[in-house]
Amino acid sequence: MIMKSLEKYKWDLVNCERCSMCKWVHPWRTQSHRFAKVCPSVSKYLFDAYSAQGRFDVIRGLLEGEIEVTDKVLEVLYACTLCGGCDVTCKFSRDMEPLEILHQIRIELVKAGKGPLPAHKAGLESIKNYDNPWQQPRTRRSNWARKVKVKDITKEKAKILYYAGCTYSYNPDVQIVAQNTLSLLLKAGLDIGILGNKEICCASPALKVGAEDVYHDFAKKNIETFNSLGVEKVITSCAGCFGIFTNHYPEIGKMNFEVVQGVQLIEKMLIEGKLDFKKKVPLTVTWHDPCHMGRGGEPQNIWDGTRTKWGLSDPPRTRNFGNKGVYDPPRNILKAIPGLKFVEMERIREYSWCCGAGGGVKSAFPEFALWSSRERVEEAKSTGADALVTACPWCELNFDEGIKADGNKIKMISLINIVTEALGE
Amino acid sequence: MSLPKGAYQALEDVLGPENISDDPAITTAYSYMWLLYITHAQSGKYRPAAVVLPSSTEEVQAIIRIANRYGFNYIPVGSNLLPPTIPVRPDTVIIDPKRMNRILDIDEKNMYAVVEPYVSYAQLQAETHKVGLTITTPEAGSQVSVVANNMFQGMGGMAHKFGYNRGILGVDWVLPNGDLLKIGSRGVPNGGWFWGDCAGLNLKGLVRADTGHCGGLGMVTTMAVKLFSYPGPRVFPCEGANPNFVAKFPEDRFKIFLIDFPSKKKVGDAMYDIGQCEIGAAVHAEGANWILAADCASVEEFWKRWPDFQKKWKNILAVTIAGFSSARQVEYEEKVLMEIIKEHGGKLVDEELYKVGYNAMGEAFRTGLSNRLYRPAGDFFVMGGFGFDSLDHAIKSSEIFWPIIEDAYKRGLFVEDTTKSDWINSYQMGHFSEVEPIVYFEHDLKAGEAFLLGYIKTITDALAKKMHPSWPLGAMNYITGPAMCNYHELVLGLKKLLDPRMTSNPGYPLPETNPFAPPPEK
Amino acid sequence: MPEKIPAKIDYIKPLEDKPYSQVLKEKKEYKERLRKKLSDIAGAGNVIDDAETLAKYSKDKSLEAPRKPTFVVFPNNTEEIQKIVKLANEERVPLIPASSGVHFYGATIPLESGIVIDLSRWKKIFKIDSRNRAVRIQPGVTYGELQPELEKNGLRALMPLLPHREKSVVSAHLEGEPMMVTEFNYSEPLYTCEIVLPRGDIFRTGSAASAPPEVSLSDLVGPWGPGFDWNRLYTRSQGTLGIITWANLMAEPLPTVQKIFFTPSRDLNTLINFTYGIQRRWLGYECFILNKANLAAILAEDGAAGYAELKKKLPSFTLIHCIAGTKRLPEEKVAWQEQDMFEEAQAQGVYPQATIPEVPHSRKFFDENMRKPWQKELYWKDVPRGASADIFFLTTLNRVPEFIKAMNEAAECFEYPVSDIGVYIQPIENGRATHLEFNLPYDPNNSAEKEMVNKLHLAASERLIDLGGVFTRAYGRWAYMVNNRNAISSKTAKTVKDFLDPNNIMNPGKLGF
Repeated sequence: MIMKSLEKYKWDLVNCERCSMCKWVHPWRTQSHRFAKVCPSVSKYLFDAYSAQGRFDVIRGLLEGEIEVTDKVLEVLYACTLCGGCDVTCKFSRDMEPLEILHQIRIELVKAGKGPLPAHKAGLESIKNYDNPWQQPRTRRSNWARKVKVKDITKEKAKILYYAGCTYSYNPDVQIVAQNTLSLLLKAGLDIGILGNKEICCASPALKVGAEDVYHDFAKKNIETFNSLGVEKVITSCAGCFGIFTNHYPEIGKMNFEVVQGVQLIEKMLIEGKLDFKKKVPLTVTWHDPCHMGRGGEPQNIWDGTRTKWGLSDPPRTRNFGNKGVYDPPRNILKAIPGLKFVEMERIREYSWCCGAGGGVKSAFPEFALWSSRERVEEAKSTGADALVTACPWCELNFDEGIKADGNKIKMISLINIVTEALGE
Repeated sequence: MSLPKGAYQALEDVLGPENISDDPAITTAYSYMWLLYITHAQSGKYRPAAVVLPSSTEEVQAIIRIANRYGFNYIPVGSNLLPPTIPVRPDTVIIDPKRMNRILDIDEKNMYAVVEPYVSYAQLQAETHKVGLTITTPEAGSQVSVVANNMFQGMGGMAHKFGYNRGILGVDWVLPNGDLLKIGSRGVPNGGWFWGDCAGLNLKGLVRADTGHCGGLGMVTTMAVKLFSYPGPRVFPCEGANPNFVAKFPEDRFKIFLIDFPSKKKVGDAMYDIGQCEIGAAVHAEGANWILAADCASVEEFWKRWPDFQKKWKNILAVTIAGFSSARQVEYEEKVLMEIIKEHGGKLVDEELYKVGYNAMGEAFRTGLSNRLYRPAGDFFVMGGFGFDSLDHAIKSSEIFWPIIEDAYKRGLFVEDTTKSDWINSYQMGHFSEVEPIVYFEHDLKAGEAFLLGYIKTITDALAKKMHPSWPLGAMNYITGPAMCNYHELVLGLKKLLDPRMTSNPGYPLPETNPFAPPPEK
Repeated sequence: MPEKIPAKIDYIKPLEDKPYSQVLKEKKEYKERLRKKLSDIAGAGNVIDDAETLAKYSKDKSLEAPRKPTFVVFPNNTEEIQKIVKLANEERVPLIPASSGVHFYGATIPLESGIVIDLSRWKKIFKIDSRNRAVRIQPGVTYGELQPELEKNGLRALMPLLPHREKSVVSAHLEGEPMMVTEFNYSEPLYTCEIVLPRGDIFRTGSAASAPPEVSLSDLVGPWGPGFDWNRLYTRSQGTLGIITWANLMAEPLPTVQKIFFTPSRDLNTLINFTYGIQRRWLGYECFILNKANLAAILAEDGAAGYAELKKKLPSFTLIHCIAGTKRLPEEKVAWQEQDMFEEAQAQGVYPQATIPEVPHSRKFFDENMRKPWQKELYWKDVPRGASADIFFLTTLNRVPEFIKAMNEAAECFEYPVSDIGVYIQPIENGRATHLEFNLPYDPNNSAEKEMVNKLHLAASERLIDLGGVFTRAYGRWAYMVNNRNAISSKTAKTVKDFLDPNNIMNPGKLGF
């Protein structure tokens, strides 16, 4: 029988009360009928099976031998971006780990040879063979940095490693983000280097579809590499990479460096007076909290224990509630830009609505990914904003598609690009 | 877990293939039920034969007519929280209303809203607060369905001011024979939604009683609900981050008082006085376990604080005052409350306890506390309770409940609570009350059995003492019925007439045969 | 097939017939047998069928056609009622419960003959429960009898506007009369009651079901269930589902300090907006609007002549609103509510006053009589012309002008003077709905006028229902109008009625089917 490791979650599975909180933004944070839901999956597919609660029942059914792994079961378990919205709302009342369980089932399915989905295989093979999920050659990885004069950290020491990530490296639509970020940091006088073509995937896409072995390999390699470089900080612009470094890598090995999201550093520079915004940016903008930078961007609390009486954890477990993510830095940056008007959407911070691209959904369920993106774009439009701003390549690309699909006038802008514009560059 | 031949095709033709499923991957998510698992070990035994997602009243009528044609049974659900919606037959179809999720109207002047079954309280409140109105939210949590909850309970934190089970106005109700019965002003041409009593014979009396029919008499597809004036901010004043929210209401219009009384009797006397003086918006005697569970971010935190907290929190009354009319109202009501506190020997709690209990006000207005009650042990429910009568009766009832609860403590099955503090509610300015001792237990069959048998014992003990018993659900009506004017015969008779093919959640309002009856002699 | 067709076909065999003399004998014997059985149950002196009594019970103050009962019976206790009900089932004879000394809407006129069960002599006040603000009484207790007793205990009854002094309190509640106090109404001031069901069993509603009141440890104030919401089913059913033997009703604290305000206006919409405002803020207790015709009828000191004079002086509409304090700090309560009320008045541009300037005694009248039944011999609705045909239903405040317009248009069609129509607007449930009542005075001794008013009443009722008036109290003709417009409701109601009363003995025909 598969899923031995899920036995340790039996308490969670059995004690789920079907309260349905996992489907909704917390009531105290709900501001309208329209934007009250937090789970894209059940909001789109409607049947309870597509919610955390429903998936618990499916997993329980598998554990108890009531049902078997079928294509539909795989669809139900994989049509989820692993955004963690359910995890946040559940934990308000319960001592449970929905996100961990939704993740763990995928790992078990892959171990049992049932997963991931066929649509994921190409990306997974690409990671294994080319160190990136985009089936692009390693030799082109650093092309984005051709015009930037920066240290090759494999040859010359630096205090800070700028980690571009696969998407910012390879996708021409968003390479500008890495370029602008690196340029800004260099101009600020930071001692930065990049790995260039030696940079390899953070392996978050592998982990999200359950390919734990692949993930372990890459994570181990990355930690060893970063440690060996002796850097103080690893900066990344990609929320996905940031999330995996912060939330999962500590399980793999000791990290002798600090992980920093690009926006955190930019905010620091702002506070220290190192940013001179010369140009007004006359836009009304709203900020989208990427899942893996927000609720998924909290440092992980590693725990390996058991449940005892009354559901107590032994040893006691510290849980992630999603409230320690990177929320304020981007807001502070945007509010400091002259001429810019900042407005909030309703579902923000730990209740942010997922763009729809994560968790392998983009490749396996493109219509779902598009649907989720369009839903968020509607929410952005409802604020009256001219632009939706974020700092994650998956979000940016998916929102672009969502905007175009409905012929919307609202723009998708990466935060660094607005900062660059405000700096007059 | 299958339907009669032809039934699935008929349903699919009406709803479209994407709105029906019989795949085990889908149906299994409707087969587990927390309370029933521990009480009956039945949960998970039957997946429904199919789950359907109608989008309109007409589609619901078609589903029910198809059920009658082919003879399968169906259960309409809301957010699907409670035991009566668990399939117990292999040919059950769950009617999931997720596509019926609109707020059709909010009539600000006449203070009502018209909603479909998948509108949650949180959604409705978010919209009504924008126009200075609100609705009382149930303790089950404001993520539950407004329609389903009003059909079943309709209790709420603000019931002292807003009433209990008075919230239903016009209703569109699909009967078990597929007819659309319009209740109240809906049944009158151009009548609208504003009123719930029918022109002529008041069939509103069939919509529910002290509790609802749990889908045993068809499905309500649209309901108008009462709204009430709300002097609060247009956006709920939530501060903090998950899970440590605080609801900071404007103090000139909202105040909560937590008052320590020397005995439960004094709590009751004070509650009476408050009702007779016609002050207060929410008035509850708050159980210690309940308040602490709501204030803790983890089960570990609860257990760390519980031993000490039990010593401090006994006989505490929470009174929320709201200035529905003005700040002057708050000043006046506070003065009256202080007089009452003094007369009945109470005192305000200290700052430490006040901080713990402060959020009870926000919970009363917006969420309901139940979600956090799973924290101490994994499971909870009410041992007895819901026997609606007077405040004095409520306090007397708890004398029946506690020996049963204490017996379970001794057997290690429930979390021990030395405070014996019940949740006692004042409804409708203290005109009615009921008491709910919350018991906490782990999710296992022994504890579940102790709970279920204990609950039934509260009923039989109350009846033996000529008191009003706890709510009977389903088959329990056969226990209460003979002692209560044989109402169960009337209910069963009407059920059989309205649902002659017994397709609408057949075990409810009560099953056709008495499971407690002794087997026939051979 | 027969082989041969017979010459003579003798297949029509007449049944044995009774001679007419025997028919007459059986008719008399039937009635006497019924009388004997009823007398054995209730005592001969309590079984009445003299012509005058039967004529009295054959009609009431409504326009419904008179129909005589066979007997009027005054049972002494519940057991007797049960026996009578069982007898009625055996003999298939209808029963019509009555408990007031006066009836207005035809509910107690037997449509298919039968026995009137008159409980107006049942005058026990079992218990006044100040703690739970409840009073348990028998059906014959009137407001005039109840209110003084309640006042001794610091309570007051929930009352409709100036009810007839013979009006039964239980009847008023069961008929769903709108109570003047909007806050405590919740539309349902009935706690629990005991009913003799149409099959003769005893049933008690709510928390009274658990045990008879003599031994019950509950306080009989839980109104719901058991099983269904019987209180709601029974309310407004006009005795078609059983006979109530006692009811436990809400009583509320008696005001110790009060101020009554009169807000006049020519513009009803302004008054309506003011009413919405004060109701939404939960200010005050009694709150209602009267037009000049009804207010004149109430305040006139010397009959019809005084009424006519007063009507000329009064403002088109007047809102009457009482702010009061009860148990604690009553003056302070009045003070803050008065301030809030004036705040609202200012926003609406209206001017509440301590009295109606044109009628100096108005303040005194309402101060003294607001919580009493009508004291004078001639009921206020009868003051203008001797009788009144009433049309009432529920709607929302904002639709009231629309309905008034429709009523006036109907009156004009029949050349009925619009200025004679009394209008009573009673907000209920904090203004979320309103009872709207039209009173059409007429001379009952003028058959042409009566006939005209009858036709107007019919036509106007049809029009008002079609506009959306919700006739929850569907008396007489309204029952048929309501049923004709809602087939499913009618069908379902009939199912309920047939189940509870399989022999259709309880006030048959009253529900419109």
